[in-house]
This record gives sequence, C-alpha cells and structure tokens, in this order.
Amino acid sequence: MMIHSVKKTMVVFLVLIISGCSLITPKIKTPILLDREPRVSFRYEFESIRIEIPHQFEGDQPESILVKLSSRADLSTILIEREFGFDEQFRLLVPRDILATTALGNLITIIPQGEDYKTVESFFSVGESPIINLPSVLIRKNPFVVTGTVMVRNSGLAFENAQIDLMARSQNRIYGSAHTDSTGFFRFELKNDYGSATVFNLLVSSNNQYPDRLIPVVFNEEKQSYNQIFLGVSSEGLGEGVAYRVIQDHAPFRASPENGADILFFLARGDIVIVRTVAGRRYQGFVEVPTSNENIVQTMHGWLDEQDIILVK
Amino acid sequence: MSNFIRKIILLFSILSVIIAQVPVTITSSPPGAKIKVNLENIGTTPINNHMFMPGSYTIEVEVDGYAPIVKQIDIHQAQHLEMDFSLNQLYPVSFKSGIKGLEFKVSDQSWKSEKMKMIMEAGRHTINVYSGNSQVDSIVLNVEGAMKYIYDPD
Repeated sequence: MMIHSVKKTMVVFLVLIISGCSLITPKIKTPILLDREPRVSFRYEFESIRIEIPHQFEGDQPESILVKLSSRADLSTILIEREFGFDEQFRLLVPRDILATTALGNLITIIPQGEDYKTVESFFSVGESPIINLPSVLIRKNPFVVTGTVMVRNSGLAFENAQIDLMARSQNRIYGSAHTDSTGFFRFELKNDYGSATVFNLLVSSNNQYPDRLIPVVFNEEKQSYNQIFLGVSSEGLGEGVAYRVIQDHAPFRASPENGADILFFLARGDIVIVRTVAGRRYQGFVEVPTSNENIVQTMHGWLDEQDIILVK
Repeated sequence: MSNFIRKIILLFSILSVIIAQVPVTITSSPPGAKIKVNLENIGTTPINNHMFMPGSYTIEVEVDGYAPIVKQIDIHQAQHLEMDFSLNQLYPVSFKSGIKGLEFKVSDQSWKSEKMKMIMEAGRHTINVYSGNSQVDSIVLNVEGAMKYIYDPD
C-alpha cells in the first residue's frame, strides 16, 4: 500500500515536470544584430610639411603669384591653392597625408598673375624631413626666343662657332648671345631686361673669317624670330674676280679711280671686295650687299686704294 | 665592425621603428569596452596612445549589453590617430505569434515555435514570415528597448 502511494506521487511529479517544461519559452542565445556598418570615427592628426619655394624675378614683377599644389596622379585636382604677393616668401604648410609618397609624385605650379608671364612647374618628392626646399624658381615674362642658322654663302655649308649677339638698335647693349653648333644652329632666349625695346639687331661674327653681319630682328606674335644667315660672298661673285679683304675701317669705296672722286660709301674692316681690274694703285671691283632676302645679294661696284685691302689667300 | 658602430646601427634601427609607429587613442561609447587587436586583448577603453605600426588590423570591441563591433581597419602613418567606437545597445525581445505553424526568420536566425525570446540590437529589424516554403509576411520590428511583440496579422 505504501509502495503504491509513492509510485502515485512520483507519477504526479513527473506529469507536473513535463507540463512545466512545455511552458518554458525557447530562447535564441546569439544576439540578433543589425546588418550595418559599425559606427566608428577616425581622426588622424598628421604632421605638417612646410614647402619652401625660393624665387627670383627677372625683369618686371607680376601683381601677385598663384601657387597650386596637386598630385601627379591627378593633376586636375588642386589640393591647395594660395596667392602670394610679389614681396612675400612662397611657403605652404600642408598636412603630410595629402602629399603623394611616390617619387616626384607632387607638383607645384606657379602662375604669375599678369600678362604674358611664364607658368613654372616643379615636381617634387616627399622625404622624411618636415621641410621641403624646392629649387629656386625664376619668374619672368615669356621670353623672346631667337633661333637661326649660319651658313657659308658660297658653299652652303654650316658655319660652326659663329658668335651671335642680339643688340639694341643703338648697338650699345647686348641682350643675349649664343654660338652656332656644328649644324650652324643657334638659339637663345632674351632676358626680360630690355625695357620697352621691340626692335633689335643680330650681330653675327665669324672670328674675322667673313665680314660681320648686322641683321634687323623681327619677332612674331609668339615672340619668336628665326633667322637664316649667310656669311661671305656668293660663288657667282667669286667666279667673277679675285677676293680681297678690307683691312681697315672707313675705307672709301669710290665711284671712279681719280683722287677726289665721289665716295659711294665706306667699307668696314673684313669686308670682301671682288676685284676685277687693277689700275696702278687703284683696284676696281664690287661688293655684295645682302638684301632683306638672305638668298639674294645686290652688287655695288666701285674703286678702292691698294693700301686698304689685301688678297684673300 | 666595432661595437660602437653596431650600437649606433641598433640605436638607429630602434629609433626608426619608434618613429614609424602611430600613437592611437581608442575610445568608445559607452566606455569600458574590451578591445582586441588581431585577437589579442589590449585593454579596455579609453586606451591612450597605444602604439601601432602602420598596417591593417582587425579590431574587436565588446561591452556587455551592447552589440559587439568587429572592424577591419588600416592605420596610416600619422602623428596621432583617434578612434571612437559607438556601440549599439542590446535589448531582450519576447516574441509571440498568434498563428500556429509559421516560421520566422530574422538575420541568420529562424524559429517555428509560437513563442521566442531573443536579444536584439537596437534598431529596425525585418522579420520575414513563412508558411511552408512561401513568404507570407514581413514585419519591421523597431527595437528601442526591452519589448514584447505579438504577431497577429488579423
């Protein structure tokens, strides 16, 4: 009887446990998270880099100078832009992170504000130093550029190492100089210290091998002048007589052999005269005068004293 | 090579490593979050000027009662970096369905019982309701605190 009541009690407990378990609500233990980017904020503090751009002016000073910083990888995006007065130091303070770390990966563009100034570009790299000193920048107007070739007229060969000087018309000042190379070519830029001068002469010297040439220089709108220059006399001229060189300046070139005959003009030392006739101590011949077209020469006939010339060997 | 030169080289090597490191301050909202970097526990927020070499790291941020954050970050060379993690609170949600035989899916969890208790991150959760293989409904649960939700489309 006792055993029977214990069994009955256990059955009742079992039923209660089972029914209790069925009442327990199930649970998801892992938190259910939203599918979204976590909210994280970053704030970098970068070391600043100072970029020093030493500069000098040649000729006139612009009103102001615009300095732009960009990356070689994206030249269209200007990272920093600052305008400086002409009397200010060009100095940029930039966060290191905006600069490209690749070799020569950064570009400084210097744009002088004013008519006809030349824009200067300078690529640079970033090193460990917090200061970057760029090479000195020359700020100037777009230069006049003089180019040309110097040839020997009678042979058509290039004349090497001719001295080229660009001078004021008054010939009292030289603005630029160059020498011809082995192809007879020369080139130089005219510094911007010529004031308001617009007309120049080109003096071509050949170390006394040929008469010096003085040629007016005309610049086109692009401020460029190309000059083809011939030295000496033509092969046709040489074929008509014997070449003599004038040995002193202001040698009179007369219309006839008589003493006191009209002086046509004076010849300069180094000028070449093609002599055709000799009458005592007087020599008759002609000089070739280049025209505005370098390919064409004009001949001028006259007489010279023997003392003013020597035979060209 | 003399000992002196060796010491100089060693000193420069150590200095270059020190100079290359980035001091990072890590904060969190709420504070007191455990921070693990590449599975290594580095402390609890706020953490001041922990030195990192520039590079890529996996950062885990955990606070009891908040949704944990696991974030892949790249640390760049800088003078200093401040990182702030804003954690989202977790709330208990009791869910009850008025209809039997449905399946509910939210995020990567699903259940078929009429009642379910869960922990949900604060915000808007979408629970999709299925009958068999067909989706029959979609519920948006806006969790803003501990809540009970009874699903009864009627």
